[in-house]
Amino acid sequence: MKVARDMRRLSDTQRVLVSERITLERDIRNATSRGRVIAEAARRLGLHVATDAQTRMLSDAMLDDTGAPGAAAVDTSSPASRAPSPERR
Amino acid sequence: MFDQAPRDHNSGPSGRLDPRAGPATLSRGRAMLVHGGLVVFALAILARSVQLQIVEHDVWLRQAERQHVKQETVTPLRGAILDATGTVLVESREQVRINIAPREIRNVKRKNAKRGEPLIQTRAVISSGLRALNVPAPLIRKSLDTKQKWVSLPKLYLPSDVERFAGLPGVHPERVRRRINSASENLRGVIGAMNGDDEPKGGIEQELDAMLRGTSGRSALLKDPRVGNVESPELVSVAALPGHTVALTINQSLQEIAENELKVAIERTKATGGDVVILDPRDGSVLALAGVRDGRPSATSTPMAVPYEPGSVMKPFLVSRMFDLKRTTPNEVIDTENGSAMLPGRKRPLTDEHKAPQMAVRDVIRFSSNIGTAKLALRLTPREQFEALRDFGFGSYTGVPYPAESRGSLPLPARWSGTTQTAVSIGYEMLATPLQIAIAYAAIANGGELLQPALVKEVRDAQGSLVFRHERRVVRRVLTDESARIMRDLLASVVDSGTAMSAELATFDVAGKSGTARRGENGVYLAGKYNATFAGMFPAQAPQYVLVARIIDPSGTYYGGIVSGTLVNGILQAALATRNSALDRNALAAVAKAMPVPVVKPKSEQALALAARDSARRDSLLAPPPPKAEAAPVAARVVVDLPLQAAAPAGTGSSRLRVPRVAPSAAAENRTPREVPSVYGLDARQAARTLFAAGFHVSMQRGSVVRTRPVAGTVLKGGSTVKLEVPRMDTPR
Repeated sequence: MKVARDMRRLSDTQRVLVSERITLERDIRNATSRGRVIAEAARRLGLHVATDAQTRMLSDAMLDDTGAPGAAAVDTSSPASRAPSPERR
Repeated sequence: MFDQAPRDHNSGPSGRLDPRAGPATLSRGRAMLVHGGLVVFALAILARSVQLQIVEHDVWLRQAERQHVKQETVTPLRGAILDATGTVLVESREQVRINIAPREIRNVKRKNAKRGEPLIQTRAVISSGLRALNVPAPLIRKSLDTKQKWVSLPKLYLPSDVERFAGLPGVHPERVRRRINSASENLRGVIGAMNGDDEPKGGIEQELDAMLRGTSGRSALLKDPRVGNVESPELVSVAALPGHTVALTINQSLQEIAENELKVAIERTKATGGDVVILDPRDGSVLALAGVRDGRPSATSTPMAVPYEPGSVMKPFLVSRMFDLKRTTPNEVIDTENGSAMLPGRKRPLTDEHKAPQMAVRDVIRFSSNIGTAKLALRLTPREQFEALRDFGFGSYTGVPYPAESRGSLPLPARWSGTTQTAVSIGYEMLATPLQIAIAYAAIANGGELLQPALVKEVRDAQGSLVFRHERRVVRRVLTDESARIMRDLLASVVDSGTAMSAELATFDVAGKSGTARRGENGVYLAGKYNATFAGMFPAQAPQYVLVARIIDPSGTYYGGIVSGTLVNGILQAALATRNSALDRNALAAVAKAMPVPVVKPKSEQALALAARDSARRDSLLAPPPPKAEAAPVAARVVVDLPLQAAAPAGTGSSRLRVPRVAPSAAAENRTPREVPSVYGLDARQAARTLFAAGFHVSMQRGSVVRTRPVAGTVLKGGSTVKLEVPRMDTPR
């Protein structure tokens, strides 16, 4: 009987904690949702959602190049980056 | 006469037993009778014992168990519903309902209290506890009023909130399971809900109830007078199996973007409602669904459940089918009769917004010519036309698992009136849901395959094993790859320089078609009421999204290309700026247009070191203010003035088109405003000449296709510089 009572107490505690976890997770999700974060970023930091002209997509190849030791990030669309490098000549 | 009756030897004269007398002797018969009775009694007890202990052993054991053990049905935990990235949208949570029996409230001893300690003032404890839970004062008074037998508080509380009431007489907590919804408001119509009886109502909850519900278990509880019923490890219980976890194809980030942009568009246009559908044309996954009616998110997912007359967004389907059937080509010239034509079967002339005497088929799509499309449709029989639209999925259920899905309406040819053939070709006299339109555009986007749209990505059981996973399911091929590619090019020209320039992006090509249709109710078209639709795909070269946006009854400008095109533009810009918006950024990088970037002056080592110190946060704090929103362009009313006698015979390529050789004229020096001419379909040399002939200076840039910046139709002063984008191999020498 004692074991049964202990089991009951533990399972009650577990239920309470699980319910609380779910509630807290929901609160975290709401707080980190896109709508909340964007509104706060605009209010506190003066940020805005980038336009497509302000967004640059990087392909894997670009990322691989920049990952090489000593390599600097290059902008493939800039005229300077399109000029052949001395090593390639 | 009568002798003295013989007395018992042991009896005295009075008949009493004499203790001094010897042992009494019974008659043999009596003794036998007594012994026999005792034996029978003993046998009866023995027999009854045998009956109870052996014969009826199990029966009595069960009865004893019933009295000490309570069998309880264990309700399984209902499965969660997630989005495509694993974010929980809906899950079950245990909550507590507080019931109070005021007449049972009495003061009790504290646990482990010593003699003489005061009792717990139960009434005061309950009152303060309810106040802490923000229960209204009148309800607290009612809960403690002994005239009431039973009071249930309407709200549900967390188990931790009601622990303070544990063991108090008169307080009866009741555990209930409730669905906790983290989904955005528009998704609730898709997901559905659970009613008070824990029965699913609508949406995925209803459609997949068998999977989400789980299997009930049984629990054996020992009746314990001290703590109530307790579970015993020695008794056999059958555990409840929790329901499966369902992952939807919906992307919560994209969903939020769609909802927000739809809300902004409705506020901007003072519309009464709108719908947005975004899906992935590669596998038919529905990525976002938003529907607003009368300023509120609709309870039913209107993009799937409410069909409407879509208007000109239907034009590409018939035209592309005609490409397949070799009944026309993009360069065939159609007589569009200066924007007003009386066509067979019609009582009133059909009109165009963009009036022109003639248009090539590519311009019929680009400028959404009703006359051109209707004339093309008349080349088909009603049956061919019906089959073309039916093949694209109109008039049929798409197969999406949504109980309230509508199949729209596409009447059988036998029921067509004289006007139906031309009306259906321009999107009237038929009904389609935004989802049907989206999946039909997806067929054009993916190379001609009509897919079954999917709302459920995968289903896993409680142990995490895969039960179901969505796989791309092709319903039928509706177009050849070549026809789909040609139509994508034509749709790109609609955004580039046609009726939907508001949807254009700076760094990517968008393809699409606008549609502005009169809105009817009860069989009558309402004055000044329109459905403004834009159906598009992004990026045009290898679409990852198909988007359908519809605005209902916009005020002021009501053209679909402007109203809904701007909405789609906003969605795409926000999606590009969002990390997890279901975009393959590697593939996007391959089709991104080059943006001019100023040459950076090499920095000194000291400057580089200082720059390295700057944190990302500081950069973000110093970010420039948001760019001012550009004013929505006015409704394009461009009279098509084909710059190159585009009336080439059908079947000839654009490279054969003749461009008039125009010498630099005085017009080049004339500063009067004029429209930038269209260079669609021209090669770089022809385009440069056309621009120069129109009085503009030309600046060449590298791009993916031949196009101008600003786009054709823009009014500039003569002599202004127009940027001409040309592909690398197409640069004129």
